Amino acid sequence: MELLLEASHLTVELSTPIGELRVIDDVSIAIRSGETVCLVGESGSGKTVLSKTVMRVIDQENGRIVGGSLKFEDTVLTRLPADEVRPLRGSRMAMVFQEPMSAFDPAFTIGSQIAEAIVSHRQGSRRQARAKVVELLRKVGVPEPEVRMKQYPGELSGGLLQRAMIAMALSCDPKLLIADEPTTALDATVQAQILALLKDLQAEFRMALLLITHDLGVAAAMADRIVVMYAGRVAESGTAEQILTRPYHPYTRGLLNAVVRLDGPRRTKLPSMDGSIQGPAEYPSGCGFRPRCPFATSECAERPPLAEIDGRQAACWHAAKLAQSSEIQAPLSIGATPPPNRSVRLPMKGDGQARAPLLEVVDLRRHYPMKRTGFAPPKRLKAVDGVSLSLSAGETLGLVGESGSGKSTLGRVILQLEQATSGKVAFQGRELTGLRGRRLREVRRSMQMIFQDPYGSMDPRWTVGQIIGEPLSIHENWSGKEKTDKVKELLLSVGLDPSWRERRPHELSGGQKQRVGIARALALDPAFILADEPISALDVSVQSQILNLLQELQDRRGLSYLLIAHGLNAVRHLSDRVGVMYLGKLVEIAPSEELFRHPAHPYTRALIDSVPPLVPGWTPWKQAVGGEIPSPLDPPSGCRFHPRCPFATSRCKEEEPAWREIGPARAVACHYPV
Amino acid sequence: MRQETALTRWIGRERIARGRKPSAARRGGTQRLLLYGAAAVVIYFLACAIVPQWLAPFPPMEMRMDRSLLPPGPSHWFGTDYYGRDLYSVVVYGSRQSLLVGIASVLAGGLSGALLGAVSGYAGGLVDAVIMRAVDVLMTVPGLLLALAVAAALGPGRWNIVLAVAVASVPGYARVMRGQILSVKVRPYVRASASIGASPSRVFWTHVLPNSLSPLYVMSTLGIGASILAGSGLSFLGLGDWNASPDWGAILSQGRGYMTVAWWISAFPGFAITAFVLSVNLYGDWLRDFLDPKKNARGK
Repeated sequence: MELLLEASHLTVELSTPIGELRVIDDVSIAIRSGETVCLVGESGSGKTVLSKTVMRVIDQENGRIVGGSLKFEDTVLTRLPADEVRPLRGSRMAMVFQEPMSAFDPAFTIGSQIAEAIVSHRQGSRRQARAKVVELLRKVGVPEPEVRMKQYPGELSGGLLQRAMIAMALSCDPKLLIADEPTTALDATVQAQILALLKDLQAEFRMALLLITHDLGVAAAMADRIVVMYAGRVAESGTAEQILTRPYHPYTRGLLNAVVRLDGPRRTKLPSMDGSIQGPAEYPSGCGFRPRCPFATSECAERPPLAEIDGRQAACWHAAKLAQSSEIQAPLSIGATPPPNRSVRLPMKGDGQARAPLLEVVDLRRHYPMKRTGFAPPKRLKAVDGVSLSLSAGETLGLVGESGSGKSTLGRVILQLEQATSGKVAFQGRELTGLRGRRLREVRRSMQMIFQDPYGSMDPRWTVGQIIGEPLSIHENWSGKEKTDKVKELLLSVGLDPSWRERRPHELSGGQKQRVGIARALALDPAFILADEPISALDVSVQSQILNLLQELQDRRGLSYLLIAHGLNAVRHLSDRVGVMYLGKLVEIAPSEELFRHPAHPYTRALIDSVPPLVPGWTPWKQAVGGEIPSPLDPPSGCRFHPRCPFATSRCKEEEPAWREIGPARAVACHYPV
Repeated sequence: MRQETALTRWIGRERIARGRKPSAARRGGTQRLLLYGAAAVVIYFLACAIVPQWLAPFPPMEMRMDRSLLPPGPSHWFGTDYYGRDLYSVVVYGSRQSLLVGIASVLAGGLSGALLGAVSGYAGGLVDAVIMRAVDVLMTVPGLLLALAVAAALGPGRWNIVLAVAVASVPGYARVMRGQILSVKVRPYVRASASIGASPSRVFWTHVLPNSLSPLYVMSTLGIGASILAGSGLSFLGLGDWNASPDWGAILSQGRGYMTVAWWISAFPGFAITAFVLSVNLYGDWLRDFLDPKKNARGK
């Protein structure tokens, strides 16, 4: 295969208010035509900057190539004037962005924006372009392309927009497609579809794919070769097989271990790396991974070169030695430490039925009235439509489902942050739905929440101490000293330095912020915590730290969690039971292990199948469910899942399946449970 | 979008982590010089307003027809007007009236407008509808006309002008504040506070209001200039304090008729207004940055 893109010793600096930051440092990668290279790394590792450098988009973001060379086909890009780069962009190399919703201009139709790309690269007249748009949209699997191309970005779902984005990238038959986290903003089911599409198109168009992702599962599914980046440098690069099964660099190894697996042991302490990645201003001298590396020695103060070892490249002084050690040989089995103290918690589940549940939700509904249009009666958006569940003390109930399934709304209604339309919520035997004002606020003491966006959920003007102390100021009449002591204790219990009271949220990293969020939720010693996507905004290595913390706190304090997440791995790992929601209804609930081993509802199965495992060469996503979740404004008749269900019959179309028990603590709403 | 915010947030974090010194030093040079200059201007005009007799070389009302319309020179720095009054002295004495109208009316109008807007935005529903429709009605009348009507109804006088200008500025502040509150009250940290069990009034005072104020600082410092001009307009129409010395606006409009023969009559009071407004505005920006936790760590 011929060499398509070659970067050697590339160094990029960004000019920022504090001076020049070296964000890419001596990076060499090569992409051959037709192959897929995955750039893997945490946020701040420089992978996005690198992709922007390849397109020379970095020029527009105060970035500069200060060293090394960049060659695409026969063109040396390093110093090419801007107006000679422009014809390359979009025609010979094209880019797909993370957020399809904001990558399109909302004021123009999809079709006209794709046609624009074709016309501006002189690939045809307007009329020819239109015909080509239809053909492209059909190729990327957009149904009814003639209709869709006349629609505006706001009228299309995220998945369809991402398909359209890909169609646009393909419009001039690029040789290289750069996809920057193309599926991160999408549901796992849609992610599987898009990945399958990318792979098909790649074969058809014979183009190279540079895929940037933080998700090692995605990399495993797609990559021929994987390049792991850390702190602006390449840590390790090799074939997917090499990287995934025998990582040499301690960072790669830590990253692989930190991934929560669908097939790993549940409720164990996850192996995790300490700390988090530094920003470019703090990149340490020598080996960038040194501060977090368990194998670091004095040798590491000097920067390790990217050296060739066993047919791969690794930038680590100890790579050769570590490669020999048994520890690193089989990362897939590392971390199977036995479950700690599970016996303390297990009995609770056994007699959970007999005991009064901590939380009981009966036939809860939350409907939003929509604005009346014309003379038709106003529609109602049924975000939550008749959900019943219960949770006993010390138990974790996971809730999964695609976005739009109503799981977050359900959480908010349970906490009475939103009014239920009907149904009831009982907490510790007390009916909450009718409570207002002071009485309701009193209940909040024992029901707390952890938020998805740790940064947004803290007042930026406040210090960490004030943030954690806020619940105490509200509910306890304590002196300053008592409060400070409690805050210190809380900071310690979430693994932060008590002296950090004076810091402000923006001075903390994502994981540290989430720890502060957890400390705040713990301040009043609640019995129940609603965790709404607590780890989805965090880096892989930090996710496992937070999961460990949540688990440890539960074991120590006997907390009950309602864990809402779209990441099935995390839910499976932490939950005792898991409920699956689809379009405002619970479709299945089962003990965690059983649900993942033998899903009864086709939707559950589809969700599980769409998670790429960490094994190279996994391709069964083509069997994953098609289509996307419909609008809850117009839910399908009968079983709401029937339009996407591979097993649907006419009965599913007409008759809504009843909620029935199919085993101990198991229930499903399906006519034909698997 | 998310990429961008991640990038900026990341760089922002670096800036903090690396210490505030580089950024402060970098911005320091010109920025600091400007701030010192602005401070000098503001202090000077405040002094003029408080003790004009110490700063003005001539009594402001002294008419000397033999010195009519002298251009700026060593004896009359700003020149003289038609009646031979020393323009510099008139400007010095006029600063009291101008600054009073400018600052007092912004305080009164800004505070009441912000309060109306804040209540309206936070309460929502019927309260919002009633307050905002009232504000809309006020808004349909051009500001100066509204001030004119109020001043005419109240009769001439210094404080009536302040009140008139304040009333005319209320709708602007109310609108901006309401918009700000609307965007802040749905932020996650506000929701988080409610989920902890904070009462609505606590949430309002501790989270919503402090995080909504920053545009108001800039707006009100800009508003001082507009208010000085509006107040001048009213006093030009004879609604001001007849006994006091003319304010900057009055001098400025008085000089309009002499534009072709004596540009300095309009120019210098105009410069005074510009210099004062610009200086106050610089402080408005500085205040906003100072109060922004991301740019400045107070209490450290």
